[in-house]
Amino acid sequence: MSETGKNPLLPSVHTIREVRDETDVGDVKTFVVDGSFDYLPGQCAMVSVFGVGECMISITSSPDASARGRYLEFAVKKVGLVTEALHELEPGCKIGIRGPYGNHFPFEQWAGKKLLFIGGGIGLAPLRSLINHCIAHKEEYRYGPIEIVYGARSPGDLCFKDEIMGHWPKCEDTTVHLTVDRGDENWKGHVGFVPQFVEEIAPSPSDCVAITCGPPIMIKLVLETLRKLGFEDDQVITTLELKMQCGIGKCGRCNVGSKYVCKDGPVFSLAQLKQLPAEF
Amino acid sequence: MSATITVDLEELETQLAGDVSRRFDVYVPVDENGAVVFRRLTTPASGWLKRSVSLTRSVLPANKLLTPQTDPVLRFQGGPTDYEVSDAAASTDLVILGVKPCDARALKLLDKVFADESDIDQVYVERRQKTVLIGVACEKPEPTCFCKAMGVSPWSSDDCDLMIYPMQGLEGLALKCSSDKGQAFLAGMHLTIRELPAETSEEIEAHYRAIPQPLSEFVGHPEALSLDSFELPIWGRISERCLSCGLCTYLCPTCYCFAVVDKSLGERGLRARCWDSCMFPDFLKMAGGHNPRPTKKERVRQRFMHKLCYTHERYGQIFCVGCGRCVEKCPVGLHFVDVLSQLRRELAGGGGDGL
Repeated sequence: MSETGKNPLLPSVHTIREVRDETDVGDVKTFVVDGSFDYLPGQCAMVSVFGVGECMISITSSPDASARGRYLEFAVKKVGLVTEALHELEPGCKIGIRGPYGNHFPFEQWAGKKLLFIGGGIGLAPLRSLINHCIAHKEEYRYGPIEIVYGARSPGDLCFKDEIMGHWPKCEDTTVHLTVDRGDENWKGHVGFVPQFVEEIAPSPSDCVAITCGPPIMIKLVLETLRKLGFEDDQVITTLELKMQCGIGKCGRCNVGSKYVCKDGPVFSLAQLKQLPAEF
Repeated sequence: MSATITVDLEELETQLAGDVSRRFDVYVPVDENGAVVFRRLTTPASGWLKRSVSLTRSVLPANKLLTPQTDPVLRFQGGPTDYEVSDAAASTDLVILGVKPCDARALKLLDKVFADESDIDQVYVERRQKTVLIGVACEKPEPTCFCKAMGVSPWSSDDCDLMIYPMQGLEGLALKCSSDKGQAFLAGMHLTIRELPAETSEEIEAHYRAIPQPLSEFVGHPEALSLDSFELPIWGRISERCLSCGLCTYLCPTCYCFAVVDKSLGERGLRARCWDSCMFPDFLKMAGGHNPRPTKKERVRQRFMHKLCYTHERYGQIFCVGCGRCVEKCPVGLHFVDVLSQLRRELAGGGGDGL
């Protein structure tokens, strides 16, 4: 069967090109791996350490950058068996990758709209792919102003510092609002939780799409805040995270109602989520 | 193609054990200490065919031969900087003889999952294409059988390539071809074939139609559940006795959930699909500890809602063929058919009375 390439669970083997520490405590690392494939922002891939296992990770590089540099980037937080094993790997090591899987953020449908991105912690990883893609195609899709609200537990936990503090604020019509739950002696920015911060910033819902990703509790409270600000359910986009094993809607793991998160998700509008049994 | 024929039983037996076994892996049901299991036909004792077609349903569904409990995906060797990975997915030319109509229907349902979607599982599809299904009509249903209630007829040839009718009193073994694949397979055996007159064919059908299946009458014809059933109180009540053993799902011909598991010894290793069960507490538990189905209530509900609602929404079918295995084997008597009748009462507005 190997000659015909029919095995849907067979990954290709990629070499790690670079490993970047994202946080002070070292619990999030970005892996840059050689080789790329076509994908869209929001899509994921099954990343595997041979002998340990696979896990679904969102692709954090933007499709444009991947295509140019022939690489893929995955920002991985150390939380379980596979991610722990990944964190042990160095440049030159080989990992398995198969994908891309799932749907993507419907950025084609946002022509002429203002974009509001709300991220928390490692939840910025899938948004980063989308933000960079939207910035690169801002004229093509005639997007309005872009606002990014991002928070983490502490200044040392903020990911992608080059972009949130360097690149993005310099982009045209793009504003970045940062916050941390607890500051430190060097932190001069906002202190407070993301949902409250969004409420303080009070973005207008008119002609705006809000895209949010972060820890489940943050998402829950952000959705509440957006509702208070007057956002309708179809103006709010988020992603679901569920245990996944196959990535192709067969293994039954990420089943919520009649949907499979790996195939029909991970991106859902709040209106779509409300049609599902609350079991995620 | 749909005419009923007879063949000589001994001639068929010789062909299957001889030439056919050289071209295919032939699996047949055998009685092993009172348990009916499918085994590869290697050096059978004479008279095996008659014994095989007279056996009751197997402990594990015949269709599990296409989705084995441990199913290799890949093999690897080497260290982190020089892994060599090879494809380990395999398929063989397969004949499964003695498939009950319930299990054959289950394969039709599994086709919807593995072959009918945009992400086709080519490993499954290739196995399916290379498999000849020889069904056998049910002569003696088990007390727990309720396939008729689920729309399966215990003598139908629809879901097989060839169908055997092991009814007594006929000269030879009655057979029916129900696919081009079955036709070609039959032709390849060069048997002496006698076509039966239409009235004998009708007699055969009448014989099978008359075999009672009391549990089906009790069950009636269950309808698909709507998403509203998610909130019914029944789930909390019936799940109390569940042991989370997963037996119901392992025995179920339409259950297909699997895990992908890595095993290694030194620098060599294997990745495989392994059966898994939504009844296990950790099935959905994520790294970091979050578990969207933390108690038995959510897990038992998932099993029933998946079969009776979600698959119907997605594939247009209830994923139960009434084989009765889960009814027979559940160690605490959490019976599918009891749940169906309780659901019916609860949906009609009556309260449940417990199991």
